[in-house]
Amino acid sequence: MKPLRKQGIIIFSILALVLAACGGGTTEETVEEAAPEVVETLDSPAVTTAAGVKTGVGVTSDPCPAEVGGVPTMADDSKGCIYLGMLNDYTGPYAAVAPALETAQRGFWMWVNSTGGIGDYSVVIREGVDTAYNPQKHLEAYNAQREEVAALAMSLGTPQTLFILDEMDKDNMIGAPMSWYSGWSYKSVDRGLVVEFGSAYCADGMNALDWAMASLPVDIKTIGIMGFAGDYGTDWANGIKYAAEKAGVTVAWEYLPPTLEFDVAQAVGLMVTQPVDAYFPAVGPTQMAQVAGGAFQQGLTPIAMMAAPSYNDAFVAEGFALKPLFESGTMYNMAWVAPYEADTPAHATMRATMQAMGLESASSFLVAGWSSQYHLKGVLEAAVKGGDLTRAGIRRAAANVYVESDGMMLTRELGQNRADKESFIGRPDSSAGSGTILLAGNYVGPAADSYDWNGGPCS
Amino acid sequence: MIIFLQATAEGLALGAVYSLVAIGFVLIYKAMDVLSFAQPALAVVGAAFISALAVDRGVPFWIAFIVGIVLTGILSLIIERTFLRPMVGEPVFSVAILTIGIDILLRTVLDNWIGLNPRYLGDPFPSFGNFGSINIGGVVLKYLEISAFLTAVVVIILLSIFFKKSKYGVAMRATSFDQEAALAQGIDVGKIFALVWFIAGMLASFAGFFITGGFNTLTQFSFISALRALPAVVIGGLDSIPGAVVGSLIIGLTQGYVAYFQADMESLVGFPLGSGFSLVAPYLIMFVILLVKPDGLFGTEEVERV
Repeated sequence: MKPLRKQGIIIFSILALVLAACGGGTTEETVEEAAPEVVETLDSPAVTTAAGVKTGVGVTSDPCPAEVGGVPTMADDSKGCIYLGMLNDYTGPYAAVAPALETAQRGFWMWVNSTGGIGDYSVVIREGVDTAYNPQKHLEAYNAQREEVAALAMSLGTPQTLFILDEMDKDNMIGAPMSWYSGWSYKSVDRGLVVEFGSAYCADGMNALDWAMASLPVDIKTIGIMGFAGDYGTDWANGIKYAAEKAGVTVAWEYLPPTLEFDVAQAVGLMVTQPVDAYFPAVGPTQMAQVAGGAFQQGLTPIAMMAAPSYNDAFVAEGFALKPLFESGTMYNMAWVAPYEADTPAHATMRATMQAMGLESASSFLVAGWSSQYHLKGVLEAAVKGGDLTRAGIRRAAANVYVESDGMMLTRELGQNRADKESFIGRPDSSAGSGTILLAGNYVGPAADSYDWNGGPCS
Repeated sequence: MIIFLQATAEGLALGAVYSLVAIGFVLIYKAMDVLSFAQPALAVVGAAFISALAVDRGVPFWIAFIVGIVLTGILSLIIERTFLRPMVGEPVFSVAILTIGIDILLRTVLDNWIGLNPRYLGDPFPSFGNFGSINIGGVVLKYLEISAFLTAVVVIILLSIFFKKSKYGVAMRATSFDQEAALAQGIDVGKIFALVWFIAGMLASFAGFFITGGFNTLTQFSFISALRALPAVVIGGLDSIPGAVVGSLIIGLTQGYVAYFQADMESLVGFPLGSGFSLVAPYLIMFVILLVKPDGLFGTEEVERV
């Protein structure tokens, strides 16, 4: 073979490999489209009382279909219909949880419809469109639905949602995220379009450290942080560093590479060469098990305060080698909401609905899907009350409204330009269907309590 | 010193696993002139077969292990027969692209099966000693990694014997030297291609087990570890099995040393090397080696007649 040809193959191979590994990258696309004129401003009064309801895209006087995607909608035939969009990941890294998220969301609106709907309307989520957790495909999926829906029931992923924000802005399209980036609570980032729910990774990071210091019989002086840069790791790390500074704790190391460059050997190497009293991983389940197990083999069992994506109930399933380690009392997991078994009216409704749908799972992704819709429901109710179900009207309602969630989350004032600071803290335990026993709910540590949440996002 | 030994042990173990994938890369390259990007996917397919049999079906682990490895070899053979055989004579770039397609196809199907929850393989390694490890003089050695190293050594010895002593081994060598001459000598080159893919599939499966065994778990991201064998074959030389082994050890040791000594290196150079440097370092070494030896350390030097 000719040398040049061989070198060509090598270079080509490496490039092709990088492309294959990265799933095609995130090429930016400019969409030339005239922005519709927005007559309302985000600071307009949100809730008024109007006699009639003005409607727009995605709202019909015709009733909703009886089922979407094989799932009954429980829509009232005598009422109109509000259509919501869904940008879900059916073929990417979160494809496995897509059904649970979607089922819970459809179940949520089924429950809403069966209990009176939103004013004179029932609500359904249209067939979901695949985003593959890829920003470019996310935009394509958004374009496929933008002329058919009044709002988005789900936009999965932080970078992906940021990528379509300009288009959402042009369309006055609000949406519920399936991510917990602190920026969603600030108009400077989300332009009042993302209907956030639950505490962000930043607050969870602060509370993780403060709770560990206050509640565990370990003198925590030095800590390590690991996570994925560019996704949820940075928000998490910034929260922890703030809390560490307030508490006089030393951050011995931070390991925050991009997701695909995370090297378990290096993470364990850091723990061996620079031992810490506690570490704070915001990684995926793969890395979590290997890091925790690798450290344990080296005789290291520091406290682990896991961000929500790090933990998976499979870690405490019978037969998993590290089950004793995860249940040893050295590992804890953070969450923005209480687990499936929690004793709140919202959890009870969710469980009853899921059982009625024939589901026996206690997956945290069902809770994620269900909880994501409460605030959106509050916004739609406010828009109906204000007599304006156009997208602009819905956006205006989202800019200033109190939303409830039947005890699942605290009452939140949307548009207040400050992130929530309460976190839930659990312990891995196989005796619970969700794999988590709740230890603290709506916990706010000293750092989160003193942090200036009006100052903007953490990252 | 103990940390140095620890880093060395981990680096050797990583290198051993990479070498299993890398030898598969080289075998296919030598026979078909093509770098098969389906190897990482085949590695996780092998792990999936073992997990499905041992954990989901309750088959005793060692039987599941053997069956899983053979099944992966057969799948690899089927891939060669259905996708690759029609491409004989086509440009190597086209065939390489096709193997990327096969890789994506396999991983897409597999990802759906794996789901989000990590899957374990049901092997007994974590139950040995301290969660599957033994402490010798302060250096922690993992049974799974020791096994990976020994397996790699045994596989290399067996392959060497196979290539030198067996009829098919000699035929494979002949085919890799010159396909047309091999055909003229009566060698069934098609059968040799199939055999190469079968062996490469089984090697990938071995690697897949060592990557995902114990508490490492099988997830949608497991293939990335197998992907890291690529710079190893480039360093060693695309057509050299000893090169693949040496390249793999260089990659593994580099990764291991950077993992444990990055802070010291940063102190030495005076600036931060950044998160993820342990995975970048092998590529830096690869670039340096290619600058000096474009065919890799052990690759056959090509002479172009002008």
